[in-house]
Amino acid sequence: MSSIARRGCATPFVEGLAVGLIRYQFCLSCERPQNLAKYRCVNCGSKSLIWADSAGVGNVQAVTAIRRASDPVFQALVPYVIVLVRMREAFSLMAIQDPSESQEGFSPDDPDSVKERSCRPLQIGDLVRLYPKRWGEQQGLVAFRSNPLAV
Amino acid sequence: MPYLTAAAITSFGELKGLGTVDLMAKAADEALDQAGLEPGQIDGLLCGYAVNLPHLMLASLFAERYGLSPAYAHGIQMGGASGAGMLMLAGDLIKAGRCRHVLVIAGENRLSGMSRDAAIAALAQVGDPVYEVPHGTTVPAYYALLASQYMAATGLKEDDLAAFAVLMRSHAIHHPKAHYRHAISVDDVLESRVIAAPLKLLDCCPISDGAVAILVSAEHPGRPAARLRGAGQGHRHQHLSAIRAAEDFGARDSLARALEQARCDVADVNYLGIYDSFTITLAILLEDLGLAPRGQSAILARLGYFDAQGEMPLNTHGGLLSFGHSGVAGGMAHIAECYAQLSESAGDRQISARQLALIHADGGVLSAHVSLLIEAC
Repeated sequence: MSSIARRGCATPFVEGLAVGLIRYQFCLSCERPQNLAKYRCVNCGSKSLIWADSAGVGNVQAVTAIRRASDPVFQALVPYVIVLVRMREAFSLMAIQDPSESQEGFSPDDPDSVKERSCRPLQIGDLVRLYPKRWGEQQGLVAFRSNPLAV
Repeated sequence: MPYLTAAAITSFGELKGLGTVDLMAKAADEALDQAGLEPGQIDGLLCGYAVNLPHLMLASLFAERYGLSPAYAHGIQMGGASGAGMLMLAGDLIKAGRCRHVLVIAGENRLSGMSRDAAIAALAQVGDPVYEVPHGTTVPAYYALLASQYMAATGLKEDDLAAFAVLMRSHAIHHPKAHYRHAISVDDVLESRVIAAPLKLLDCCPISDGAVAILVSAEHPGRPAARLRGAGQGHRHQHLSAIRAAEDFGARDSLARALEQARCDVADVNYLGIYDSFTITLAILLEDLGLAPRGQSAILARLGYFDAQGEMPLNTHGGLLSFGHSGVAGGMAHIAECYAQLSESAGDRQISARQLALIHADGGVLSAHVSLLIEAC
């Protein structure tokens, strides 16, 4: 599948990442944001959707540390942390622990690693700042650094 | 009224030398034998997809190889809900008068026919190609994210999840065709290696080879059988990132529709076949369907409520977690076991008489839901 076909209605999101912006869909009819990219508002069904820029700050809504990957690129990174973040603008977005941080050997899931950095494991509710990330051949990532957690 | 008149299951596990279509043929042979039907009598064919054989028209391929000339045939793709979805459609085809004997079939040599990495990578594509998959996600990771959120909200703990892995294994031990039959303890589950925290290896179903074939017919076979009394579906999202409320995934929509069609109450149900791709899947579905209070499904499990001899036997074949998961057939094994128990043909595993079973399956990340109410008759 070509990258264009994969993007579909998410093209503004992908283009935003390329210029350092995290964009989200917002419905002009019911004035609510929504997750992912869709053709209609999930709340009211309107097609009056625009793309707004997020400030990039949110709270961890769900978290996992992956220790079994299938792709060799990511196998080299294990363990790496994935979060679902509830952004301040009231939409949710998936993000990966910055691969450069994983490569330094820090995992916010691993007690030893956390102890070394004198911080605590990443928890649901923690504040994180998200930013677009380009990592080798992997484009279109949204990343966060878990240490320091201060935003 | 649609009747289930046969349900055949191959062994699950590593079945070297048999391809996807070979496995399906094996299950079909046994189902036709059970029902006393000839291939020429099959006028409907519904076929589950196979990750390892992504054919454009698998139903037609199987029909050609197996010597069927059905009046109605196609494949279905609903992830883990495919088997229950096909049963629902088979029932509607019978009720509409379009078919008299529908063969519902799925099989796959997902373990011996492809590498584990290839299977994990293929399955991960249920994630969003822009927002999720580029981050190195896997299906266990999607469920692990769900688990972290659900556990924080409900107080469900890792040893609660482990109780379900132990329960499923305790059932699989008694099934000669199960993939995994050695006993495990809660500690074994907790000490197994982490796949995607908080899910560990024994919280995850294995990848297996296997096939299941079920016959749905217009007439009662004149021996103990089962009938499809009601069915429903629920679809609220596809991707994890699109879930709006983390305690309403669509399972209840599906169950309510099935109960309405069956004109019965969930309190009438006394056997359960619930999808268990991961321990967290089972816990969430039991609680979301209202079969256990929020965060307390494992308490019921520890009390023996879901045991084969308990008040509400659950997945008495061992579920996906221990009987095994060969794709669509993995989800159909719950239905095959339900049929065996309701028709009192489960042999050594036969439990006390059961009248009404609830089958519930989900595909994707609690995305596509199908509920079936199946009654002994």
